[in-house]
Amino acid sequence: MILCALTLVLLSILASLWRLWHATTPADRIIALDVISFQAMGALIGFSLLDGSPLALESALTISLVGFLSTLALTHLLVRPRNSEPS
Amino acid sequence: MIASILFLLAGLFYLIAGLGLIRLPDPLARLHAGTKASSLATALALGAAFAHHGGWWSALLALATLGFVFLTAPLASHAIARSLLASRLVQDAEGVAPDRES
Repeated sequence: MILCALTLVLLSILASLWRLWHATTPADRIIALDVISFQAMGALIGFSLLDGSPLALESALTISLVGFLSTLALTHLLVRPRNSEPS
Repeated sequence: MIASILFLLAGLFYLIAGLGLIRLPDPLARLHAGTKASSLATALALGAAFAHHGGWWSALLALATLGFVFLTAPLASHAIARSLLASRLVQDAEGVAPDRES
């Protein structure tokens, strides 16, 4: 049953990767990366359920931190591109 | 058993988030689908982890991750929506793109 749910999580990662590939605007890629970081947290928690050790929960906490900071950095790049002069 | 059911629900909500990312027509609608469904799914998965492992250390980790996710997911989606409006990729309800904030 846990394997079944883990398959669902991996399928949803594939769906988000499809949107990452077929994006209409650059913001779509940022949204897809944000959702993929949450889904990677879910997959890690599923692996910790299969494994029996709570060590993967710490990796999930780290992924949530890095995902939030990278989302903020990418939105700053979207508002103010790198080669524009600072205002 | 409780952990399996909670994690199955989490997988279903992750799948709803992924399908919303594929099917919805607009970047703001995709933001709506992705952020809320995957926040709820992460909460369910962390509940499954606590129900499976038990103990104070996994409870502390799950609570810390849950607090961090519920603190930062609205902030991240707000930043994405504001950058969408500021970079004039979409228009707001009145049909005008607002001026860029410094």
